[in-house]
Amino acid sequence: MLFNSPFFLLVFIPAFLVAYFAIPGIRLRNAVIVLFSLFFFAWGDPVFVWYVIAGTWIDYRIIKSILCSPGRSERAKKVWLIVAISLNVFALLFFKYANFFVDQIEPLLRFAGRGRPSWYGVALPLGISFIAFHKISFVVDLYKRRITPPANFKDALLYILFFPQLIAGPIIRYHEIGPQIETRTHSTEDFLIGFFRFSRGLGKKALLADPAGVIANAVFGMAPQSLPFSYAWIGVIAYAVQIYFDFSGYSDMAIGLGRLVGFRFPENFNQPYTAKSITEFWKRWHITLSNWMRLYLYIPMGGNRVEPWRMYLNLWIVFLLSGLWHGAAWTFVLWGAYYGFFLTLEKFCERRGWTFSVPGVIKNLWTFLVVLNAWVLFRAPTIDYARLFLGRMYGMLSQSQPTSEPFALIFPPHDLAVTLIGLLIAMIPLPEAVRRLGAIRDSSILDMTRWGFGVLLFWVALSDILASGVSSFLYFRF
Amino acid sequence: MNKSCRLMFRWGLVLSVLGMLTFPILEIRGHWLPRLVVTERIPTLVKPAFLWSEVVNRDWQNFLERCFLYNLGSLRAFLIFANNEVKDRLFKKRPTGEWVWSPEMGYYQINTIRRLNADVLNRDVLRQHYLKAARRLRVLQTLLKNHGVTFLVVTAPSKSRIYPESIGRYLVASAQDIPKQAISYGDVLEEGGVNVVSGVRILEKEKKVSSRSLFTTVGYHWNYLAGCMVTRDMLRKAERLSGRHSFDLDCSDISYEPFKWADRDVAWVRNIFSQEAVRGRAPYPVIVPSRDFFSVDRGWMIVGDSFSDQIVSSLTQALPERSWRPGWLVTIDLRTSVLQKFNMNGEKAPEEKLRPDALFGEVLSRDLVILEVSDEYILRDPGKLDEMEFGATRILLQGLLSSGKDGGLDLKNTLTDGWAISKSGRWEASGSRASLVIPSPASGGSVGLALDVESIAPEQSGPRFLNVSLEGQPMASIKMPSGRGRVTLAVPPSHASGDILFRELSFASDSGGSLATIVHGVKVTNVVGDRIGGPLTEFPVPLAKKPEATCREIFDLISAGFCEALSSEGMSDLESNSAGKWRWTLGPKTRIKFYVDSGKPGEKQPFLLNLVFNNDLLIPAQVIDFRFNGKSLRSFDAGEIGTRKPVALDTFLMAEKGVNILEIIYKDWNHGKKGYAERDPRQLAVKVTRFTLQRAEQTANCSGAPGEGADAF
Repeated sequence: MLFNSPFFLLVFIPAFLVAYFAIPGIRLRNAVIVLFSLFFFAWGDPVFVWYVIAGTWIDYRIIKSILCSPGRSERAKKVWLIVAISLNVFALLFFKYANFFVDQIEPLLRFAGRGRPSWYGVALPLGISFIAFHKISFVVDLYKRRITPPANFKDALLYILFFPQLIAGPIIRYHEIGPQIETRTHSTEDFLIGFFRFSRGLGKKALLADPAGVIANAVFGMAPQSLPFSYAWIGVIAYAVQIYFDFSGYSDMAIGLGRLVGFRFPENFNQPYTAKSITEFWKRWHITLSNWMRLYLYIPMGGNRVEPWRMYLNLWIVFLLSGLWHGAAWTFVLWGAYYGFFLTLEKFCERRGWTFSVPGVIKNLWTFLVVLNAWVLFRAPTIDYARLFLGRMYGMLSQSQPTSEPFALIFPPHDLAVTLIGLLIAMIPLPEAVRRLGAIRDSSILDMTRWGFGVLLFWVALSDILASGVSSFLYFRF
Repeated sequence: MNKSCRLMFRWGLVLSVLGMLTFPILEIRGHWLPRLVVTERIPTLVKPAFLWSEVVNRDWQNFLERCFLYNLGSLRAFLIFANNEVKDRLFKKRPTGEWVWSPEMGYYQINTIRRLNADVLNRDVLRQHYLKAARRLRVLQTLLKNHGVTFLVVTAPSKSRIYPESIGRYLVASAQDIPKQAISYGDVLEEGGVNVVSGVRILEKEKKVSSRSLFTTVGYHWNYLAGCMVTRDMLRKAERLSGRHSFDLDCSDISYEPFKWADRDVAWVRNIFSQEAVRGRAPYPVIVPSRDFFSVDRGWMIVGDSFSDQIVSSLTQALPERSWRPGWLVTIDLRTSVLQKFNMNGEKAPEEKLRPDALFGEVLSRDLVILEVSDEYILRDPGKLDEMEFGATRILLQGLLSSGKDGGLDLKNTLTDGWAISKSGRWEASGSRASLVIPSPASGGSVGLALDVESIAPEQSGPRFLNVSLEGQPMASIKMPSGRGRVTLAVPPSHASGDILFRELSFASDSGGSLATIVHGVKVTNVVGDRIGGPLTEFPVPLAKKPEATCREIFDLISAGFCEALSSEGMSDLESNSAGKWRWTLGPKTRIKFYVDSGKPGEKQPFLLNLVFNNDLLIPAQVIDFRFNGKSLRSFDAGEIGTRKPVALDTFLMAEKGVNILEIIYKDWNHGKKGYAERDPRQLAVKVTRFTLQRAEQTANCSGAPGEGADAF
């Protein structure tokens, strides 16, 4: 069930909210969340819902019986922690990368006179990447005693299966949400803030990301050899707009849904295209993934406390894995390596004390340029396509075929205008006064404004979805 | 605002959000919103089985989501209309990704522009692809000709092709260069020997000499005027090919009317509130039935898409009134597998479902088969040759080429150029060259071919040889028997440019003289080296399907449903109440036509007319005359008619084979006069509560003799 589908917006959400608020008490309300989350998952993936329940049960039993048992030795706990992490990593590797692995070794298999294994064609469970990260966070946080274990299995299921963040994040670490499962407050103000946030996310997706996607899809659907220079640039900028508003829209919807029922999820985006360096970009883009990677991968590998060369290597490895986490393809590996290179470079310069005194706008544009190149790698179907596309962008490859799509034909004015508006929204830093609005409490004018914009965005976005059709979120495939 | 007021205010906002979110579900039950309907093609929603597998496959989930979407009804329609309206006003020239709009010519479909650009850019590649299609069509045309079926391809160009000047910014070539630079499918077909009526050429020519628009501004179809012009040329071409005059079609009398029928397609599917506002006027030819009598033999068939509507409209209006016969014209839409017949007034009969494999039989039952190919179905992808022209060419060729049980082929389905039926009924090649086609095996390998041939060349001193070529390439030389005998040869696979459906073999005398050969039978085997034995029997010719007779014995305008062989003009639709059913006749004249298909030409057959009417409008001094086939039948004066009393007419009509016409002429009718149902805009005359026409023999068996007062005519 997609967050932007009419069925979710007009059946699932109202039914959930009515059921949730009709029942008193946090424990029963948690049960409502779990039931609706199970239904949500089963609706989209009726087979793997059992895998998620069983997986969570195993994690829960390991936590309760071993990791949080005072009678167990540290060594035993460590062994069981490794077992729990390995199970989740193995599941992720199997479901997400088994097909990719077989594809890579297929020439060898053919050479050996063997075909693909019978299990080839493994189906990708819904939200497997996010679920795996949540489950690893679950066992590690409790092993590290960052928080007390959940009171019961239902609460554990709630953490893993809570439908707003189930499929595409934000990646919420258990120690961030554990206390809210047990105790949280509900207020009409939170409800209005949550509704506004949800509608804002829906608007980002339907009114900005999808029209920009029309342009990006059209350009990336063309053969790079027939791509005029300007098309390539417009295409990649449109994709940058699309992916930002698509993913941040989804995050807004998730955060808003959580807020409606009293949960406060961590922020996932903070105007990433206003960043002045790649390091800053990754502090603003998919923040929860960066935090997860830092806490559960980079720091255990030694973090900044190791030799410089080792630190650079660790950083690179983390981003390689981050790339691979996004998808089982060489383009994603290259994408991760590309970012790893720039982050290492910036770290290197920082440690050497090399600073470049150029205006902030130039730094911002340079960073955006580096990000755009990365989006080519991210969006291209193959590395070769990415190479040719970048070649056309920078004029290193001549246009060998005439284009069959004149400018006016391939770029509808509506989608072009929306892309431009989206780009401006994404690149112009939000004034501080607007930022401070979020901190103001108990204001009727603000409530009314949120309500008004929320209602308007909801119906306008819904009308666009109904008129243009429902499109999937980009991060659903990761 | 104090704290409690603020809290109450917030609660109000929260409850309004909850109310807003639950409103759509409640609206499905309540239907409070004004009715508004989206014009769209709704896929059939099939309820999945109650099985776990249907849940696992997400069939149930998809079904429920779609059910919900379509049940949103007016709310969904309102949101879609509002969204489209805003985009239409803000971005008039390019409201969506699917359409562009120009002030001169209105809406153009984006895909048609893309195809036109492809026709310019890929001209040479497409030419090779179209030549392959032309070859198939030429073979099909020849084989159909062997069955006495005239085959004609009508190409329907897009608006972009004829009026490129309004969309210059979307094209890869300048508008004035488009006619020269864009390849035309029709031209390539003609070059390949196919009988073509090129819509491009007709409309481009017409555009040069006339300022009249040939396409609608709110649709992507050519308009009815252009349809008439293309149909006129089509009729003339068909006459030249068959050597038989049909009937005249005059498109010169034009009336400008608001867009109607298929002309409004884009305005509809845009789903905007202001769709009526964009409705303009279009030229509609005023076509009257031709005065010539044209004897319909096996009937005509049009295989095509919605562009056929305009052709059908012209044909059904121009057909001489007495020439109509059931099933004289059918259209087949292979995309929807629908066979459509037309009644005497050109109205559509109920659709019939047609299996693609049944198309073959339908085609062979016709005199003239028209393949109307719109620009959309001229596929530019060389890999989709089999889907070209809706797949019709492939289906028909496969049907014709399918061999009999023992591999024997019907000669009509295999012999192509250079053959003619001799006086003795044999297929004879008297020229220097002759060809035949044989089906290609699915495996693509070699096939064995056996020919039962007879040499009719004058006695020669030595043996006679024929040179055989495959797809134009020399393949073998065969020795002709003196007299009748069997010749066998192995046919290798065609080269890559050949057709996957058939292999074409040509025969030429090695001396360059006449082939002087009669062919008695052709047989193929899939495996070379198989002994080809047994008699070379001719494949049984599929029987031409005779149109089925329906409702020919009893015609009823009041109680029965649709009857293809009965039509009326000057009559209202059926009305009813608890007391019964009736139709109003409309002044000044009602014409009822019915078709009799049995009997010999000129022989009269008795039909009993049973008609009951009353002067329900109380029109004083009403006089009604009945005429049958142009002759006076009966007259009722005011005294006989009276007011609101049932008046019966029971009489025999001596009907002729073919179309018969009963006319009812009124002295007066409703003109909005006081006391004449003045608010009803129709020209109401009398109320008919019974109208039946029964073949007299049946009447005698079932109902006895006609009642008192029945007159023989």
